[in-house]
This record gives sequence, structure tokens and C-alpha cells, in this order.
Amino acid sequence: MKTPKKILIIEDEKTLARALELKLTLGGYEATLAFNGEDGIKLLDKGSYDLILLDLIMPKMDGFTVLTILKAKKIKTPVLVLTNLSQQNDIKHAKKFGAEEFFIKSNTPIGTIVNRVTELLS
Amino acid sequence: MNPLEHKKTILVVEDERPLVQAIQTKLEKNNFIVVTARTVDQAIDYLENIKKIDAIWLDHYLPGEKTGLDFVAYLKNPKGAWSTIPIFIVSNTASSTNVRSYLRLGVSKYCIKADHRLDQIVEDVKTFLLHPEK
Amino acid sequence: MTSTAYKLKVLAKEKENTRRKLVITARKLAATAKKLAVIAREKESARRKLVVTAKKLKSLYETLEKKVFDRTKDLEQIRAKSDAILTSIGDGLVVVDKAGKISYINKSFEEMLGWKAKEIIGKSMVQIVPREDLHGVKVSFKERILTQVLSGQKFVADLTNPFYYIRKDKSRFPTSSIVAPVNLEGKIVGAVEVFRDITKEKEIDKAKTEFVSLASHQLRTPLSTVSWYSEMLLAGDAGRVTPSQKKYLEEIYTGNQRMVDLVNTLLDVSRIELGTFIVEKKPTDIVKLVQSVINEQKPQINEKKIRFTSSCVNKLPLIKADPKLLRMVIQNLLSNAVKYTPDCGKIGLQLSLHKDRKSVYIQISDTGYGIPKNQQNKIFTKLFRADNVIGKDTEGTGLGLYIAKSIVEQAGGELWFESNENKGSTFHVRLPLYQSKKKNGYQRSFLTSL
Repeated sequence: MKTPKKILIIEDEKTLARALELKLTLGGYEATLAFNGEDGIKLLDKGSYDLILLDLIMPKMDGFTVLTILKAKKIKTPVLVLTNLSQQNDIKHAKKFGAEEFFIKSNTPIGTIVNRVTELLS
Repeated sequence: MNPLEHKKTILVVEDERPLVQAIQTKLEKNNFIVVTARTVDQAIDYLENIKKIDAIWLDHYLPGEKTGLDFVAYLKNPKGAWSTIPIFIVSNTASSTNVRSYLRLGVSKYCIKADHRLDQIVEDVKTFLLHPEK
Repeated sequence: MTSTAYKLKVLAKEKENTRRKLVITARKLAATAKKLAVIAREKESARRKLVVTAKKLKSLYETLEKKVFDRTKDLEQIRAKSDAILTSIGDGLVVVDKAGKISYINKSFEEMLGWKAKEIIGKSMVQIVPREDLHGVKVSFKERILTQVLSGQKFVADLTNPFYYIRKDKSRFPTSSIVAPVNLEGKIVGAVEVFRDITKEKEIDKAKTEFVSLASHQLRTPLSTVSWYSEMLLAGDAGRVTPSQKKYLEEIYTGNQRMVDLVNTLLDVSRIELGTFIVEKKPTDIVKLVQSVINEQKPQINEKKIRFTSSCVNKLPLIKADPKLLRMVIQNLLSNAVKYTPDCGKIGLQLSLHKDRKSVYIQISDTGYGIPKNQQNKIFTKLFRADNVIGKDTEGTGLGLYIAKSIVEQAGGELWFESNENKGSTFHVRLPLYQSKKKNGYQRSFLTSL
């Protein structure tokens, strides 16, 4: 039996984080949750993941900082940014910091996000 | 339910389709016979053709030129046959001018949709019809 | 004896003659004396009359003098009052003559602009107080409202264009002004301008817009929650869903989508207002874009049995524009045409090179409800929906045309329309091909100047 791929979800809104966890688990993935950037980085130090879903605006440490740290630590795990910011310059910023892709949560069905995860990991 | 129990007929005047369906379903579950209309003209049409309407559930903003207020003014004409039908305004407009006008015309109750659960509004309507002197 | 008697007789005759002459003379004298007496009497009477007249004149003079004195005092009071009023008008006031030269300024003018009356009376208002737009582009003499008003042109204020007055010390402030001609016997003899510093109002406006932006961002979280969970329920992720459950869930999902769209629109509007709407221009194929928007609207068009005709040229030069924004404009105009045309109506879309050969021209016409004449000047303002359609369609936000106009104008183009109630409307767009107003464009603020 194939070991399920591991997805790290770093999102401070618990209901949304749980929705992602549910959907990903149904899709056969193993999902782990962190509710701020700091906890997310701690988890990354302890283990490795196949993909990261990252919110940008979070307390304690925001998504941009996380991206910077990932770059500094040379962690190559693909990152999908999920946020409700939607300005063009936010998108550019995130991509410059190393995000693979950028989704606006309220404009994107959760199914689409999970499909993209599947595409990236196949 | 006692089969001999008289079901009341309620005329629902509301143009937002999803809301009409929800209101109709809820009222039917509560033992009402429901007739729905989208405009004031349609509502007046039904009143003239259906013998007994026991209550009216009315929204304020409706398609066409007439608003709920025009409808209530028409109904409350003392010479007309409908001036005693209890009227419940269920609307999202909270303008105090409108509320005052409706109350002055003699509606039984004014409810703001977004502030209440549907089942609560239906309960209020049922209670009022059972004890109209309240 | 005879000679003596003769001499006596002659003497007597002479004396008699003399006596008679004397009598005549006496009589004449008497008559003259009488005449003189009459004359004297008349003169006396005249003299008396003169004395009376003189007295009357004196008293009249004294009355008049008092009246003049009082009247002068009144006028001084009135003048002091109007001076006090003019001075205490918080707004700046300037009166110019036919040639545009300043004849009066009030205290507020002095305070707001830093000029003293004696420095600028007699000088040209337009020269002393330059006017410029948000970006520092000066308004030319010809374009100044004062110039236009003095030459008898009717001036209609463009409420969406804020402008600034420059002080003596070269600093500037945002202004709102009203200019009116002074008419005397049918001729324009000057003009009066009243203006205000609207810095405070603009700050309040900005705060409001920032609030909308903040609230909209915060709304996105619960909207995402409802959206995703109802999506998952619909997908059966929490178990099988009965057909009627599916219906209810779809209503939730659709209703929520409407909120999401509204929040997105509010965010766009607040960005346009704050000037933070970032525009990313790239060479865009407008023909493809228009086709794509038409295809999007096809289901609605077919459902309403609308006869749609389009005449688009096959190829047009690429436009340097932000495709996302351009799409919004065309979507808004076409969806409006579809929304506000009753079943079985007609809609026509035309896309071609503009006759000036430097721009693209788009025309969308419909046989719909039209816009009532007395509401046409508000159609591009925020949240405005004409009375004749509010009742027919409750879904419009009233923000689409405001956004469309902002986008088109930022791109250096124009958006205009004609409409007749119950006959239909025709909207026109002109978009320049090559020029781009701002390269790394921050969009102009479109805060109103009031």
C-alpha cells in the first residue's frame, strides 16, 4: 500500500483549516495542521512534507516570513499560497518569495485546490 | 393532525425565488395552504379569485411599480373586502419611515428577514392567528 | 393899459398853462404814484412770498440733510453688515470683472490662499491662483471655469475630477468651487466664485473607503467557510445527499456566491477610490476577449430569447491594456444589456477600429428598459440604480458602471451612452491603441471633489 502523501496546512482560520483537512483526507492524503507560521516552521523542522498549503495573514508569523525562512533553509517543498488578499502585487510578492501558486480562498472552490494538489504531486 | 382541523390559507408575496421556496416549505410543514405571488398585481389577482385568504406574508420591495406599501394601502381600504386580513411584513428594509407607514396602515407585524430565523417568524404568524387579540 | 393887461393876460395864460401842465403832471404823478404803489404792494407781496419760500427751503434743506445723514448711516450699516457677512463666510469668495480681474476678495480667500487684497486687486484671478489636477497638471486659461463662465458658456461640473488651488507659497489644497456670472441688463459684467477647502472631506472619504476595504477583507473568511462546506456537502463528502437536500444546498451555495461577488466588487471600488488599484498592462487581443465575454453571456441570451447580433472585425491591433480590467468593462456593459432587456428583445455589439485610426471602438446597444432622462447624469455614480429597473431586477449592485468608467478613463479612453426610457440604450467605448497613461500605473484616485 502506498504511503499517503503528506500535506502541511498552515492556516490560522481553524474552520477553513479543518475543511482543507477533511477534503484532503478524503482525497487520500495525510494532512497536518498548524495555526500560525511559527508552529508551521517547527513542524517543518521536525519532519518533511510533500506539499505546503500556506495562508499569508497570520498572527505570530505571517506567510511571507514563512516563505523567506523556507528559502533560507533551502526547503524545496512546493508551496500553494491560499489567502484572501487579492491584489496583483500580493500575488507577485508571494511568487517572488517562492510560492508555486496563489489562490484566493473566497473565489476558489475547495475542489479546485485539491485537484491542483493532486496535479502537482503526480 | 386532525383531518377535520381547518387549514389556513396564507398568501405569500415575495419575488426572490429561493426565499419563496423556503417560506412555502416551512409554512406547509406548519399546516398552512400556501399561495405565492411575485408582484402586487399578481397578489391582487389571487385575492380576487381565491375565496378565503386568512393571512398575508408580504415583502416590501417587489418587481413592478407597486411596493408592499401600495398593496397594504389597497387592502386596508375600509370599503374593500380585505381590510381585516392580518398582514405580516417580512422584509429586509429597515427604514424607519417604511416601518412607521406600515404600522400606521395597520399591519399586524413587521419583521426584518435577516434578523430572524424562518421558523421563528412562522411561529409568530401561527401564534398571532390563534390569538388575534394580542 | 392894454399892454400891461395883455402881458398879464399872457402871463395868466402861461400860468394857467403851466398850472394845467402842473395839474396834468400832478395827475400823471398821481397815476404813477398809484402804479408805483401797486408795484410796491406787489413787490412786498412777492418779498413776503420769497421769505416764506426761503423759510420752506431752509426747513426742507434741513430735513434733507438729516435724511441724507440717516440714509448714509443706514448704508454704512448695510455695508458693514454685508462686509461682516462676506468676511464671515467660511468659504472663499472672489468677484471678478468682465476681464477676469479681481475686484473683491473676502477674508477667507486671503486666509486660504495667502494673498492680501491690496496685492491682487485688479490682477487676473486665473493667473494669480493657478489650478491643477491630482497629478499636478495645470488647468489652462481656456479650460478654467471662470474663463468659460465669463464668455457665456454653460459650465457643467465634472464631479469625479478633483482639483487643487495653488497658494501664494506654492502649496496646494483640494478645492470645491462654484462660479456664477453676474448679469446686468442682460449682459455679463463679471463673475462670482465661491470655493472651499475640502481636505477634511477627502480624508473622511478616504477613511470610509479604507473601512469598506477592511470590512470586505474580513468578510471573505466566513464567505469562504460557507462556500467550501456547502461545496463539500454537495459533493457528498459528508455522506449521500438526497435530491431535495441538494436543492437546499445549491441555494446556500448560490446565495453565498452572490455575496462573494459583491465583496469582490466592493474591494475593486475601494481600490479605485484609494488609488491603489494596480493596473498591469500587456498587449491584449481585444477581439478574443470580446468573443470570450459574448460566449459567457450566451446562455442568458438564449434563455431570454434575445436576438443578438455582433459585428466584430476579425483582426485588430493589440491594445496595451490590463486584460482583466478590460474584461470587466465589456462584461459589465454586455451583462447590463442582457439584464435590462426584456425577453425577445434585441442586442447588438460592434467592435471595430475607430475612425481616428488610433483607437478601438466598441458599441453595445439594446432595446431594453433604457435610462430615464432625469437620471442619466447619475448613471456612472456609485451604487446608483435607476428607478425603472430597481423593481425589475434586485441583483444589480449599482457599482458596475462606476468601475467600468474608471477603468476606461484610466486607460485613456472614453465611455458614453445614449438612452431612451422603454426604447433602449447604446453604450460606446473608445480605447486608445498604443498610448498608455501610466507605465507602472497607480490608478488615479476617483474621489469626488465634493
